[in-house]
Amino acid sequence: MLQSRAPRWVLSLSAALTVLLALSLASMSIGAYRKVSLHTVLEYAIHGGQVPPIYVAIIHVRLLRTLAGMTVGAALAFSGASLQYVFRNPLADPYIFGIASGAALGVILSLYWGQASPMALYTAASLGAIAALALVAAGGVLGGGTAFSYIVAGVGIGYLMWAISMILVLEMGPRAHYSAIWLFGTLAYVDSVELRTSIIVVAAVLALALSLHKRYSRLLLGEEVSAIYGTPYRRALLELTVLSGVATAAATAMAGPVGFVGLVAPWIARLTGTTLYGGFVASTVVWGSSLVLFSDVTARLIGGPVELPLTAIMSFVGVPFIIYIMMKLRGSAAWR
Amino acid sequence: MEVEGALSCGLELAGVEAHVGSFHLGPMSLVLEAGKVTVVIGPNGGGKTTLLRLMAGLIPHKGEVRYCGSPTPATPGRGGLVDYVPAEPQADPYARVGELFEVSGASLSKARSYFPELDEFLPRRTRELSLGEGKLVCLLRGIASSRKILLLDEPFTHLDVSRQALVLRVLREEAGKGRLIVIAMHELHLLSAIADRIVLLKDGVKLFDITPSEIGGHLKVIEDAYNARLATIETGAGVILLPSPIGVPGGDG
Repeated sequence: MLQSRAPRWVLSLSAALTVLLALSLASMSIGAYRKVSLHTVLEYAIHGGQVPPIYVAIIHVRLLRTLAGMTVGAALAFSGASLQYVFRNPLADPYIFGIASGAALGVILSLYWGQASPMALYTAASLGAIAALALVAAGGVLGGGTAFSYIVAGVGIGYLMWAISMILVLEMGPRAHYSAIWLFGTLAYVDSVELRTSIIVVAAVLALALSLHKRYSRLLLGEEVSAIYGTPYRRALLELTVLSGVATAAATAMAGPVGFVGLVAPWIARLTGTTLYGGFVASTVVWGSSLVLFSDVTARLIGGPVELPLTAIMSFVGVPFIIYIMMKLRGSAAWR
Repeated sequence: MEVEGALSCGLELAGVEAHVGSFHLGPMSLVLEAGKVTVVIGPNGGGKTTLLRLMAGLIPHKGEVRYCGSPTPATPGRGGLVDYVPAEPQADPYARVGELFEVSGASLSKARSYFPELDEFLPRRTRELSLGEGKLVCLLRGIASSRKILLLDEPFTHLDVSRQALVLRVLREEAGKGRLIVIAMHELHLLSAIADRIVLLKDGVKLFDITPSEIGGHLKVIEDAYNARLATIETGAGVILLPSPIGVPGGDG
């Protein structure tokens, strides 16, 4: 009955928040400077200035990175959740729709022209994502405004933008190394101005989408019945695609294109909790933040001369998970 | 003329016409009374679904659709007046049955009063239901909504006989409470059990609009429309039409 819905969604979100809390503490206490441990961090948080200034600086760096990871995870998870919701496609995520590739191309172009300041990169990523989104939206609308037409447009434009990025990176000579790392996602170069901008953008997108949760929940009824109940399908398709694009741009501008988060997080939320838009997106956002923090902590633990990019680590988690989902859904109408 | 509309409140289609791809429906005029069940029959591709979708405000059309004398908006749902249950369930495969009721605001207690086993279905995802169960759930959702006009496309397909009987009884009961119900279907044998009026469509054109008692006199029109021979069984409750294996009129049977 209906009251069984509340515990399920509360349980799922509580589990997600617990995992996120644990990973946040790990992210705050794990790093190259072993002396700044969980104990040091908690002492600083509770007693204030009782720790050496150098430790405080390290704590602030880790805090920046932790918040950046949570923001990136939240943004990509939101995008994946919204795109999967409206397209009813289990593979829908910011990558499939070319948005991440557009943001990446923006940044690579900026680097290619020698503009490497945080704000230049941020602006370039946003413009690239918006350009990709505009092309995908135009292609989708021209193709009839159906879910299929958006996906075809997204895959095509994504490949094209990725190809241009690759050509530019190969042209860049000695600067190619940094660009290549960035192309697979990293939190190592985030600064506080970028972080603040991304947090504001992602929070605004989340607030707007969640304030319309009833509108989007009606999509569960199907294209025709949801229209009858006040949610015209094609309008919702466009709205959620644009909101996802803006969130993805905010994440990519800061950390590069991070793969698999937008694909995997919605599935964890879907299989454990509600499918009503509000609860589903809230739970996905928390799982997405956890996934990025997990990848980032792992990147720091593995260490080495160069930190591993986030997508590389996410792939090791994401690929087995996607295969698991495929096996679970084998033969069902949802896997098409 | 508005006075006449007020006397028998209902849905009035005045010269409606629609194009969907290469298919053309109408121009057609129809008056459907509240408290009655109108059944639209006709061969595949005859325009039954298009007519329902037009009534639901889901496709652009010419002409006017009035309810109780006043024009209705040509928007999906016609301003909260119409509910529609499509032939094939379109619900998200991961949505739980209870969530479908919740997002549409359908009354669970009303659905439960007609189908007490509903509670067992509420926590299940639609992808876990059989075709018949999925169909029944979608029908109950529409039936349990508060909208005055209920449009049902193929409500009896996939249902077993006990659930067909349940739906028949529930729809009669809903009509008795004043709801305007329109059904598109192929089960000619159920006509006399459910229909107050029967509309026959072929190639987007209305061939007749009759009451079940007039079926006997229109048998030839129905046979010609379907290009099939029908057997009839006279019962106290009316004529029952069945496909006859003898052959197609004009064929070699």
